[in-house]
Amino acid sequence: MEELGWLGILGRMALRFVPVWAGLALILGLGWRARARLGPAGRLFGSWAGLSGLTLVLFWVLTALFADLIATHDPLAQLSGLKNAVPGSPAPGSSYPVYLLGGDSLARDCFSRMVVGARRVLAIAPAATLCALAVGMLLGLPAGFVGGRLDAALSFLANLVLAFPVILLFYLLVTPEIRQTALPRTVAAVLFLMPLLFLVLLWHSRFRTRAGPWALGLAAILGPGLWIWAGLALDADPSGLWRLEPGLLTVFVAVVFVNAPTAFRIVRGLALDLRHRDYVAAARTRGEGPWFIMLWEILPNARGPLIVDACLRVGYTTILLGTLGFFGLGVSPESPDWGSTINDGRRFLAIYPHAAVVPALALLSLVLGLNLLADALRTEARHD
Amino acid sequence: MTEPVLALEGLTVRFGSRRVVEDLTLRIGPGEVLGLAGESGSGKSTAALAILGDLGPGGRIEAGSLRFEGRELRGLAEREWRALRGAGIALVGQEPMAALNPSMRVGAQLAEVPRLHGRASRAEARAAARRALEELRLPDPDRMLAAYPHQLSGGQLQRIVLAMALMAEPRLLILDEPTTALDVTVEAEIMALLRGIRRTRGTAMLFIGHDLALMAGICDRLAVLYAGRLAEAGPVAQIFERARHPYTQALLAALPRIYAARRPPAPLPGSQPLPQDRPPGCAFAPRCTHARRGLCDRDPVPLETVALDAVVRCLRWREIDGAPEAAPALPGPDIGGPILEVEGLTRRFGSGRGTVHALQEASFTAFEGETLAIVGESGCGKSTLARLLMGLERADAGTIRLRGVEVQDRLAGRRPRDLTAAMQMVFQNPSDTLNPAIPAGRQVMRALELFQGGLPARTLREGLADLLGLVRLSPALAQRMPRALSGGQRQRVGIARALAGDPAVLVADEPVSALDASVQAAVIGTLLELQRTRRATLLFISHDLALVRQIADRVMVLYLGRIMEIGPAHRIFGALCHPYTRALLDAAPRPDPGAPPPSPLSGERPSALTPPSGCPFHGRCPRRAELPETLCEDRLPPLAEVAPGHRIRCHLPPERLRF
Ligand SMILES: Nc1ncnc2c1ncn2[C@@H]1O[C@H](COP(=O)(O)OP(=O)(O)OP(=O)(O)O)[C@@H](O)[C@H]1O
Ligand code: SF4
Ligand code: SF4
Ligand SMILES: [Mg+2]
Repeated sequence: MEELGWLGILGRMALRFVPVWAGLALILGLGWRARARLGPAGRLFGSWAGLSGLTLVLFWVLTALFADLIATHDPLAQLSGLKNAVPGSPAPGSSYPVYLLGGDSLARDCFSRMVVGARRVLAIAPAATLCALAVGMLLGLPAGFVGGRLDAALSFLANLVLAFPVILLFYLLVTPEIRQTALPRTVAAVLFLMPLLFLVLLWHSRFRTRAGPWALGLAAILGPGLWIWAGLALDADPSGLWRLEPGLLTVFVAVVFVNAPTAFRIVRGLALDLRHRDYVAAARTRGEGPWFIMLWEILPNARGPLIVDACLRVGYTTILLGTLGFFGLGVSPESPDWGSTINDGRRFLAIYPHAAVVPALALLSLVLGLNLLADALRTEARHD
Repeated sequence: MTEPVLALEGLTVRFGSRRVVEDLTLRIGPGEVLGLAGESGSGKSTAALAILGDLGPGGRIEAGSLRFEGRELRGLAEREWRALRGAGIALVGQEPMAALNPSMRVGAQLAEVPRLHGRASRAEARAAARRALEELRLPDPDRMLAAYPHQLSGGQLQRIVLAMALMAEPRLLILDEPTTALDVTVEAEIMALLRGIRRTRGTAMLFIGHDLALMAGICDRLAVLYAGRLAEAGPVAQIFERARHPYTQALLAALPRIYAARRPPAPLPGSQPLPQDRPPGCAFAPRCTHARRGLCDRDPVPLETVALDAVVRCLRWREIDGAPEAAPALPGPDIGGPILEVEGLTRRFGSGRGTVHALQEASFTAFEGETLAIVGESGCGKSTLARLLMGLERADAGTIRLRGVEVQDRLAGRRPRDLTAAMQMVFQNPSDTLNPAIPAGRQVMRALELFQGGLPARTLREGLADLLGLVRLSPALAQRMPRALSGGQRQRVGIARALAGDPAVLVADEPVSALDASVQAAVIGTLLELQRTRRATLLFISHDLALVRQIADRVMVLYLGRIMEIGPAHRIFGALCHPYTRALLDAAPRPDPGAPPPSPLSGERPSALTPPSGCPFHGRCPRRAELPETLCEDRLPPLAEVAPGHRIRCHLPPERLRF
């Protein structure tokens, strides 16, 4: 088979992405039809930035979802002779006749690595963001709502973490001496408990007056919750379904740790602003507890800015993961995540740029999409 | 006939696809004051902006003409508009702060006006600024000239904005609700100034507002706007005497009247349609008791000239006679034993510059089944009292006994459930009283869930439907988000929520002050009816004395955190009262063009940071000269009983406080 020209490469790639196109068409089509009923989210369809942001983000989400269908090769398999092969090189005797975007320095398929890498990135970044937001909400809401000494103490803590140099933190976390201690596990155990605690408080404050739903809901939250928590944080899931490799755990802890203080600040500011509203006073005068007020009266009104922040934060976290991968941190060396791949590719950047450029472009477009989306959501929220 | 200063002819303004003002025809003669009345959303501010050529990017004049001193203004270039604004036409708006530059001294801002328009020298400009302030009777003009806007009170700022507008000697002054943000006493002062300006300068004015009582005191003619169209226009006396349009009649019936019989203002059901859902035919038809099917709902109703200088837009004006039925008089209250006893309640706020005494040693008792009104100027401690009662704040001293149980040390959330349910609050701000993120019905449901704990979901849903029915809301509204409800509807949901626990005491902090007059009457009606049928105690906080006069059984007057007077409404409004109460009564506008103008209270309200010694009112009291030398300055008068249940804090003997 001949080496493919750029037109051929693009054509074949477009063909590989068919499941993504189909998904995009379906989701955007349905969204467009229902846009009048979707509120602010529906109005995204009216703005150029919102629509392109949504499309970019959806593209990568769907790619992650259908990665197995799209990838042409096993992302870890090496084919002899295809070391640093240029895009479009034929790959005889393998699952697909060409290396669409060339091979890397270990003769693995760049295209497949990019596609499978999306799955990695899109699994970790949103999960870490949610975790950080849960921490931010659990500490930020009381800080803003109660104020006073509690606020002073928590804000001091947040500033302390923020003042800690991020790079130093990462280097510390890679240091084998530290990795061997129980520190990452302990921190992970606490951090992962936060989303669970958040859900429990949410349910409890709402249904404490109704014994039936209260018990049912708590059981539904705590059962699977504790199971997942034990698996991920303590590596103690007997079934082995939920586990995180130690490297990934460290990365996760690092990412949540640096994100939590800024999330805290945002939530605290919003709570501080909303706590003097009449509806909060109304909730207090009918005897609601503080957690009900924070989670069910204040939080829903803060969701606009929080969603915008979450979008930006996922983007930021994606870059951070890239940076961490670049430091060779965490994820196993073979991992196809974009950061590690860029790092691997950089040594031959001058001669064979494609191995680094492909994941770099992928990273760029995802973050761009998230930022566009956040911007559009913010504009919409302002119009509301 | 002399040339009118302003003449609008069939003016139609549109914002996007919505016609906000339609076919508006108005004229203002030299020296004339025209009132443009309408509820929020009727298009009155849009009309003002059109006259000022300041509609903004979304709006445009679609049809009609707009002539100022005979010159057509439609199609004027922006530069010409700018020359006209200020010199020809000046605007004084609702928010004085918005018209001033916060980082510039008042004097410098005022002096800019003659320098811009008349090329005066700097010294001349300063002198002119001083003269302008003196004309508006601002005390201590030199201090004012040197002050920054944020150092002045709302009333002072509004006078400065007025001075600034007048310095350019405009031929037309547009006043867009110039007193909405001000206290009754300050409002009376500004209105007196405007009457003075009119007398001495003969400036033509367009007075925009929603308070017909206020407008009666200054306007020559009145134009009533409904849903973007003129409903009626004519000489003010004629309109008050014999309004022809059913909407005007309803507005007049909804006005609280300070010296009338004790009855709630008559409500007008429904609300004004939004521009996009105005019905074909008469826009008022859905709310009009005189509407005829097949007549009123077909074609747009033309404006008809009915008398010299009077027009009305109603097909049936000939058949409709006089005012609508007044609401029935309130039955006498069925008053029981004491339910809420307050003793020596005190609340201080420490701030960097000193201590604000928001409430000082307030003692009173509220009885079962009565309406106790709490009145006073802004900052006198009304809301602080409400918040202390509800346990939203902790008192520094004093006791609150609810049904005989002391609750002052238990903040909201720490009180036992039955006591929490027994006292509930209705809040002031309709845009804030409901949580904007939660459907209206769910918020009422939650209160039911808490107060009637452990009931099955079905019973709760029935309870919700009952409560909504009580406040006259259709159950379908329960699904709506608060922003899809009108202000009046939101206030009703707030009332329903407060009623969920079947409270014995309902604390209402200015529940209607943010609503339009017709909606206000309906919400008040709902509150009173509920109060009477359930025999609850209503603590009604308000600054509107006319309204208080009509609904309260007893009245409590606060000044700078002190109770100045408390007693039965019929005695306070009819027999004798405290000099401060008297001043408040005199300052209230009267819905009667023939009545003598309200007389303002002189002097600035002292700051709560430096409360005066002795009687807190002595700095402004018109009666203090009747007492020997420095008695009022030195000694705080006791809250002495002048008749059973009527206590007054004044050194003057009661017989000299008679009307
Ligand atoms: N949280 C607070 N901190 C400091 N000062 C306060 C606080 N709340 C109220 N005050 C002060 O206490 C005084 C009484 O305020 P309050 O809100 O009770 O007045 P009000 O009679 O309800 O006025 P309005 O008619 O404007 O609602 C004012 O001088 C106010 O500035
Ligand atoms: S035209 Fe008909 S509906 Fe309109 S105000 Fe007159 S009587 Fe009422
Ligand atoms: S005590 Fe003196 S100052 Fe106070 S109200 Fe009476 S007369 Fe006026
Ligand atoms: Mg208040």
